[in-house]
Amino acid sequence: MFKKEWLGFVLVILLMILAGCSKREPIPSKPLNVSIGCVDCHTDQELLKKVATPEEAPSGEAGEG
Amino acid sequence: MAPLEPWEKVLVKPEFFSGVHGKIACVACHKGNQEATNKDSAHVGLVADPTEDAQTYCAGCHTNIVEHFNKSVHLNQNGYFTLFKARAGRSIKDDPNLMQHFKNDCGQCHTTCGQCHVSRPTSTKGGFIMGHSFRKTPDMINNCTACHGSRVGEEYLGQREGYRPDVHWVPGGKRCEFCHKDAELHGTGIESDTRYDVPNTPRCEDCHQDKAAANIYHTVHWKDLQCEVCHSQDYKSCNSCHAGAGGLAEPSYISFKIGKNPIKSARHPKDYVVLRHIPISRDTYAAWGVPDLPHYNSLPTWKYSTPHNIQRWTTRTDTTGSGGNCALKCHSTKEFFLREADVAPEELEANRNVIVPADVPPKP
Repeated sequence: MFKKEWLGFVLVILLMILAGCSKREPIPSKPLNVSIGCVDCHTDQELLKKVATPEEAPSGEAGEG
Repeated sequence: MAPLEPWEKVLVKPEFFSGVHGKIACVACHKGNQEATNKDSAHVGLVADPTEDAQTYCAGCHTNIVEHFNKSVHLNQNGYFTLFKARAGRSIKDDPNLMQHFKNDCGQCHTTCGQCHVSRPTSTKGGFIMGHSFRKTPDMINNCTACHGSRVGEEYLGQREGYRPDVHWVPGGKRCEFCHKDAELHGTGIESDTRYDVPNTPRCEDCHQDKAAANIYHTVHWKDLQCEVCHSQDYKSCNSCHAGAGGLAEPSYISFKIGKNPIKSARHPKDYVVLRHIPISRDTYAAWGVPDLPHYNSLPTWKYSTPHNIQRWTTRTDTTGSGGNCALKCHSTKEFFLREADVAPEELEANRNVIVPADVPPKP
């Protein structure tokens, strides 16, 4: 009897774990930098490469003169 | 000018911190939230170019420069407002709708302290030039020709196929500031209606006055011909542009035309000058709610020009085949001059005062 209860408990736990894994929640964003300040980010080339917003290139003839 | 990567545009390099401006807290100029721990919240309230408000951020140390710059054509774009008013009969500044269109389509082309001394101009999508370090002298490629590139930069650097660079560039490599001093670029403190009204723009004679009698052609024409009439290569004209609706209606083209001086004055005294067709047409501002320019004929569409592609020997000064007689070359080549037949019928009235009469120049 005790063995059956134990197996049931394990099964419930397994089901809960599986249910949790199947919930595709976004991974909470990691702070860019836990230290404070603008300098930390703007002097970190690798970080800027990761987070900089892509832009469209200017096109056509531009500029007066 | 090679494009900058987005990250490259905002990467602050260590050298910046050794300069005077690098000692100032970032938020003192740029605002934003320095306590934030992610990009979006750090940038709330960010001021990307604090020098848009030079009075607040620059004048404390650079008082005289800012005072003058506030009235300079580099900042106020007066030429645009002046010429629009002349053709449209009303002012952009008096109409909030027009002002908004102007800001959307043309207003990015003004400059600020930062867009010459720190980063590329906003009209070219910005970006630090030297990792946020302040340059006393703007960079010729990243600043000057970033804006003045479609004609001046292309000509001066010899980037136009089939044409040589300006003789001041090769040989010698004279950069923009050799002729265009800071006092001109910062303004004089007096507002000018257009760029050609600025009182301290450079003149060829500033350096070459000693050439006034260097040869017979100079002796004869020094007082009546703009130097570029003989010494400019072909240069760029544009026919029409539609504000807010795609820009140039047709591609630019290379031409060379001598015409009567439309802005003859004590500062621009020559009788004949080179003219370029500017990108204007009666319906240029249709997308702004101005379908026609009622005073279109009040200004020529062939405009006073100062090409930056000077050479000693050009199709006018090279007398090969004419026995060394310049008069034979120039006085016999009708194509050099803006004639009535060169002007579109709907623009004849506007250009009446710049068209060269059929009997000019006299036959040799």
